[in-house]
Amino acid sequence: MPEVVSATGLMKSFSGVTVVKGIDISLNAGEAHALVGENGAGKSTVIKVLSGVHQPDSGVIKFDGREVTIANPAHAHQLGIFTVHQEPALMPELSVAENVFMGFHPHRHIGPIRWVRMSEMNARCEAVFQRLGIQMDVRESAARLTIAEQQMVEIAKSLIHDVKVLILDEPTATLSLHETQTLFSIVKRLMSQGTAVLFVSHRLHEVFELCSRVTVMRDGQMVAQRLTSELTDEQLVNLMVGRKVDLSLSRPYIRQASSPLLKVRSFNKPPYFQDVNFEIFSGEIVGLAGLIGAGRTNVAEALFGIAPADSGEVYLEGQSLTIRNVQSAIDHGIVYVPEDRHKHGVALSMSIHRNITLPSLPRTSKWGISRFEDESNLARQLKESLRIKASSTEQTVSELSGGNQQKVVFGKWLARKPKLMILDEPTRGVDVGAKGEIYRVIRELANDGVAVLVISSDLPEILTLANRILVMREGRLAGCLSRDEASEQSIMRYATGVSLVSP
Amino acid sequence: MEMIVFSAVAPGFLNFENLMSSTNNFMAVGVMALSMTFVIITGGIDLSVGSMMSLCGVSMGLFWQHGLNIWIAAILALVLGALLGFINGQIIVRTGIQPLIATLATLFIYGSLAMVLAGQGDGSIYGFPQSYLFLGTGSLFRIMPVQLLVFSFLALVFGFVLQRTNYGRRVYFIGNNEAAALYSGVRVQHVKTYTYVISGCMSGVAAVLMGSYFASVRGDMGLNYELTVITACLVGGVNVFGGSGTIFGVVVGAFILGMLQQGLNMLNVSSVEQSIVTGLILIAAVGIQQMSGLFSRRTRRIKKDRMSDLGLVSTGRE
Amino acid sequence: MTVMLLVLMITSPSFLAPSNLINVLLNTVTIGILALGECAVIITKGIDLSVGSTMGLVTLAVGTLILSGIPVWVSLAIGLALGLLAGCVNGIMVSLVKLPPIIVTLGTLSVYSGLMYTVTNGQWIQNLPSSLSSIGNFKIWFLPGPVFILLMCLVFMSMFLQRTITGRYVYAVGNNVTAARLAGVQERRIIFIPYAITGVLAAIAGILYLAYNGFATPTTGSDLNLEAIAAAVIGGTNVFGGKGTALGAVLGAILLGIISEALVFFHLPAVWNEAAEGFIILVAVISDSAVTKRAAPKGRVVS
Repeated sequence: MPEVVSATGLMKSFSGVTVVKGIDISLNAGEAHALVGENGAGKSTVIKVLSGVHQPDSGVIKFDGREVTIANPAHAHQLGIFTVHQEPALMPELSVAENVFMGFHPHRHIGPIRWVRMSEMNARCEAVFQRLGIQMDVRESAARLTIAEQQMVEIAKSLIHDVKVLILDEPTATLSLHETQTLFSIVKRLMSQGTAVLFVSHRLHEVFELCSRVTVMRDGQMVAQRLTSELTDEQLVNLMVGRKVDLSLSRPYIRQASSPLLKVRSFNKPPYFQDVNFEIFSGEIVGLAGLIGAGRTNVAEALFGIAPADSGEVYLEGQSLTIRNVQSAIDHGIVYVPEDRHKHGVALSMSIHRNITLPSLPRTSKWGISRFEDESNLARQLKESLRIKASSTEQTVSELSGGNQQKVVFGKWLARKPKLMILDEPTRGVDVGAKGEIYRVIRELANDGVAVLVISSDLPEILTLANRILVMREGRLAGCLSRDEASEQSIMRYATGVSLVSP
Repeated sequence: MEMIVFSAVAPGFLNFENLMSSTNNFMAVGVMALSMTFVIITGGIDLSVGSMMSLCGVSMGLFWQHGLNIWIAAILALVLGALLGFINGQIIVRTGIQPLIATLATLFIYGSLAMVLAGQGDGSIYGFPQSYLFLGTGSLFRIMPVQLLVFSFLALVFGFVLQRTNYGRRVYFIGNNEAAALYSGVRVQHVKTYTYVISGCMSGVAAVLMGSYFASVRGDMGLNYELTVITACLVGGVNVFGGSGTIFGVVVGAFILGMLQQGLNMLNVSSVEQSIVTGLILIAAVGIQQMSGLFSRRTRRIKKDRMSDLGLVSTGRE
Repeated sequence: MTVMLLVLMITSPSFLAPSNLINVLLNTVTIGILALGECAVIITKGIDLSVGSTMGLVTLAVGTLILSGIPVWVSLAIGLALGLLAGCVNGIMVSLVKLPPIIVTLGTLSVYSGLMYTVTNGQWIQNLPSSLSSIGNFKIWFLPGPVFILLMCLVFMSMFLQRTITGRYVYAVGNNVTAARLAGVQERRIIFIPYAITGVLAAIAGILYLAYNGFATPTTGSDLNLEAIAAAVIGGTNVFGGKGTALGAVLGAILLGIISEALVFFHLPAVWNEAAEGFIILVAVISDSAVTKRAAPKGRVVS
């Protein structure tokens, strides 16, 4: 099979952090190639380089044997490289046909005016969907489509051009089994017509079903490139994980309290999570692992009152409690460090001081009037104890590094002396040095008797930090692992649903 | 600079008494600009201030006509303003429709109600007692207009609230990052509603001041005020996208507009033509904000949004 | 909206008699034409607060020119050019200088309405020659001229928005700027065009107003700035951009017209007019957002 596109020696770094270190990958006509690895391994960066969103720092991309620079996504489209994202970006109020043909409307010229040939557009669009073998009302507005249907529209976009390379970026993460099957049959049909496919997925059985070759990435490096026929599930999992876990950092924990701090019973909020039961003790660090979309963040947000659960009971120190909104959660000592720091964690253009003291304002004021002295003392104190690197507490948060920004979010909550702290991907976007700092803070918290629930997709992180690990899969708790049972393999097995075979 | 120009071309402009009494003209705008600052900082806008002013003014007049003491009537007008503002706030936070559209609708509704109520008399209500008229036209020690005193007091209060209280702090935070405020336990909806309540209340104050200044209240007394008030805020450096602005700036903005108006008056430029200058100043003020990088925070945010649109930055679906 | 129309029809069968309807149409010509432009601007996620003032400026300028002895047709051409210029100023500030539309048009609203006064020195425009009023009073079959021109504008705008590639790009930009950019749409140009068109439409509305009424006050149009937005929004134009039709905008304007007629019909004071408009805006926007919520994509997953 002829090679369509290849990249050799691909390197890419963002603000000093190298995320892709020398990847070689080639895609052949009519073949599906899988790109797998843990979250943060650098897969999406590779995709973005190939689809023209990012420019590589070094490395050579060849297309049809010629060396090319893919300047932007529009250029990628001209070459015939199309990407289907996990969450497609469509124009919701426009019809399916228009979404497909936007920028390429069939038209005729009348003087200087270009008239759209609506009926021709609709007919051609219907033909495209026929070629894909799916029923679709092309006049329906895109806002009414399911995610799966929206992905079909993305694929259809590529079909009105000569699609040579189709990149699928975790397309099945939000699809049902049936929708996945439809998608696969379409992709297979395109492959039979000579399209090269790059498939990124966490679901290993899909990799085996669709792809003939697989490239495994870990920490930005390529660790293996094999034929899928030569691999077993187990071997693939072992290739993906296998990062060194520094167990010397892990913290011994002896349960002291007889009753749990927090008990959650049959927590429900379909379709995000169902029948979730767990408990957590004071001073304990519990990891919550699982794939993206498994419902971990939703459980956290329900406990924190952002999007309360539909049903289920929560007991704090034995007392039943209802969490209706964020205030009630905070008042009960439950706090949450969100995953998206810039969106939900901090106000970037405000000072450290203003960010840290926001939830504590009632405590540093009298009759609603700030006592500046108390307030700045509090901010200074937290800056010291968290070792936030900044010239002063008046420095703007946007000027801080990712790690120090995260410490500001921690500081915000430490000032409220929480009982349970939920951390959602606490080290995302944080460099290696700052990671250690944040781990230190988390351990100190636990030593002070705070119960900590850590959501993380970074397995070594969870293994390093947690005293006990809960694993979620598709909205349910799939397993609970003690410190001794836990390993990257065992977590991955629960998270992906690959059947347990003893190693 | 403006003052120098006017004092050069229109002698008498800088006469102190003249200067002081001239402030009587635009104190209503100033008062409403104070509360509008809060609204705009949270990322909202209130187009209905002029209509609320009319409605409050007319109601005050009617209360008085029906035998209430003028001061009690004035206080009732403030309460009514707060209530009207509360309705604005609730429409906005409960239905989630854009503040611009919600207050556009209430601009029509309140304005119309004011006209209806005023229509029961012969369009305007006048003949208020002298003690009340003193508020709008009188001066303390001959040089300090009462209106200016009221405005100064309110400006100090608003400045204090915005800078030194928890409420002010939350107002800023919401304007900077509403989601992060919510995730920090701020009752975003309460805070926002109150900005509109305050805005309504200040429209009531403006109505009381203007009723006294003109010695009458009319159903259209607040007509077109909203645009001037917003202009005063933006000229005063309040970021139209929310998140930043100070009361001091807005006071300066109000005075720039007011003095300009007064100066042009003395040059016999009609009030309508003065709006040309107002409009140009508004566009220039925002243009300069944009250029001078005061907007850099905003542009960064836009850039980031674009990046996330392109999928460069991972963001959860809202 | 349909419900409201039905209620009116049931309560008063004679109300919607053809003659009455044409009356309503005649009263909504200016606001309808303004709403057409406003609708296109709002689809791009913009807003134009200055349409009424642009219209007023053209009205007064044309009136003054004619009164000063310049031939009617030349005056009209100058009027149209003036409208285009006013629209372009808005468009350039929004698309090129990238100032927020609400501020730009708030500013030009002040500027244009100030200029109106300058043009006439605060005098009324009246005693216009009959050659002008013939534009306002001709009839095509049973349709009064202004109504006919409104329909022409509606057809033009519908064709532009629905059937030309530029029009489709207007929707694309309002729906999803990033996706539009990926499809090769030059967003600056596309955002500029609706403002320019709005300027021309405002000029047409102004000329019709002058021709039909035969006089103009120095504040002509200043009350239409917000009403044009109201008509567009009532007609289903989404203020968040990306959605709306020319027909809807005109229907919105007609509904506003019907309400004022109905108030007269039911012997209610005309001052209730604006209150009714306000309520309709709220009802229209709230029900629209409720419908949108219900029609949200099935099975969308938050993660």
